[in-house]
Amino acid sequence: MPITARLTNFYSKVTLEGEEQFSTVTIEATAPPPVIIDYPEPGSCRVTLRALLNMYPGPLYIQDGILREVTVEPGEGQVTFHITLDEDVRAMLTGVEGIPYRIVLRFSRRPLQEFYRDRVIIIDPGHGGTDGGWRGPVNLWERDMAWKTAQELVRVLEGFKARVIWTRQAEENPSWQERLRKVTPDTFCFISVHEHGAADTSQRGTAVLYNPVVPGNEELAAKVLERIVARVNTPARGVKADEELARLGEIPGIKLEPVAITNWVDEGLLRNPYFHQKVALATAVAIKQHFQRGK
Amino acid sequence: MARKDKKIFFYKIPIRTHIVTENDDIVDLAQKYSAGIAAPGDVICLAESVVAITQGRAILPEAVRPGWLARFLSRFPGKDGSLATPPAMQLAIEEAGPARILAGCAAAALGRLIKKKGLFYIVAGRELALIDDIAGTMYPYERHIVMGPKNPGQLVQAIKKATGAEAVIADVNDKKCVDILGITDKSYRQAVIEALKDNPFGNEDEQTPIVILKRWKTRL
Repeated sequence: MPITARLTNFYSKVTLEGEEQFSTVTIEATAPPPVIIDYPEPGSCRVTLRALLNMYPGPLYIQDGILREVTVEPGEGQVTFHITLDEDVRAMLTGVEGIPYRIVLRFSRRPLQEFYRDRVIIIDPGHGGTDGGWRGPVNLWERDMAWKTAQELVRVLEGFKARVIWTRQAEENPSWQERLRKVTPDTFCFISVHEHGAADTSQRGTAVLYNPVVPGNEELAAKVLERIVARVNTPARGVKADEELARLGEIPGIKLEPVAITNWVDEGLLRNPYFHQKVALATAVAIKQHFQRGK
Repeated sequence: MARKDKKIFFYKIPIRTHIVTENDDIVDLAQKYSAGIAAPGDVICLAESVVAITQGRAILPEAVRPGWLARFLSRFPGKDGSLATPPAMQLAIEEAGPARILAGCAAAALGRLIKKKGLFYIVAGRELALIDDIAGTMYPYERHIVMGPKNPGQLVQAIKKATGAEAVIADVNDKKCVDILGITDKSYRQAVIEALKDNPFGNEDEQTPIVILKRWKTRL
């Protein structure tokens, strides 16, 4: 009699194979279970396994631009995974031998690359050089944290084949005028990165500022804020118009304030490298979703 | 003839759990999530922070009133360490007592002179190294200071009694450091350390504070 597999874990990652990116969902089991994949409706992938459930079946919120979330439905001798998709992509299924046995579902991330390919994006890490910006209660500086997040944004956007232009190097502190000179006529979007700071150290959370000159930029900022907050679980401080960004004219522009660095907890979040990665990916995904509305 | 040490090898099976709270019982959790998988000879490993959370040792900094000593001493530890905020230092003082903390500080100062790290924890108490400061633990505990677990030795024995498998409570990080706080069979110690070095508990979004080590080979 065949051994009944027990499901122990599942998770999602973005993987790179050569130039191609994939969103993956991996399901781990104590033995190879029979698997059926179908697509009951657009934007939905259903994976059914003959197995018992040892792991917690709560949902997994992914939001990586291709996969939105996975919910798990335990049944009689079987378990169904419902994968909600942001794009019309199909899964490639692989079984990886071992204990645990791994069922790996790979979804191409080409829709993100197709959207961003050759678009010019300006990345503007705030402050720099001798201007450290706000300082956290322990020791972190806004200048350095903005730089970290900016590096992650560049990594994500270049992975999507965008053309990225920096407004400053690691040790520089150009004026706002000098930063604006980096903007070219074909600039698709300007992304400035800062942290919030306040004398009231109880203030926490994420805000996104926007260029009020461009119609729709408030909605863009709201989308970016929604995605970041969903990804990093910070309180939302809202969106607001920014006079500096207004000097971009008709170029879409946002200014990220991922946390209030003057708060103990928020400063601690900045120490986690995954925090910067999540903010960067959430921003890139939100920008694409905003500009593809109605398509 | 000298007896060779046993070499034990394990498969690693991380188990996804719900978000554990102080309303959970750690023995029940181990039993529930390892059912049908862990057998005698296997090892159920638990992340120390989760054990501490079930013991109500996740503390909001607002609930702590740092004294002048805590505010002063929190300026000195490494800023990426666990006692860099006044509330965490205050909890360390309450845990170890001011005398041990001050002796630890003196040892740490000496350590700086002779370029030797870790003397603070050797003198003040290794349990202080288990404190996770604000934002040192995953959501929804990132606002908490999480202390080390109490009585890990007794807990692993209770888990073994309930499940039949060996049990371990460990502090593991992404720098390949494994600190075994409680273990039911000491002959497994080195093999467990090797198995946990790559941190199968995870340090990102993984919800896998239980890892079952399945024995697959014994060499004598």
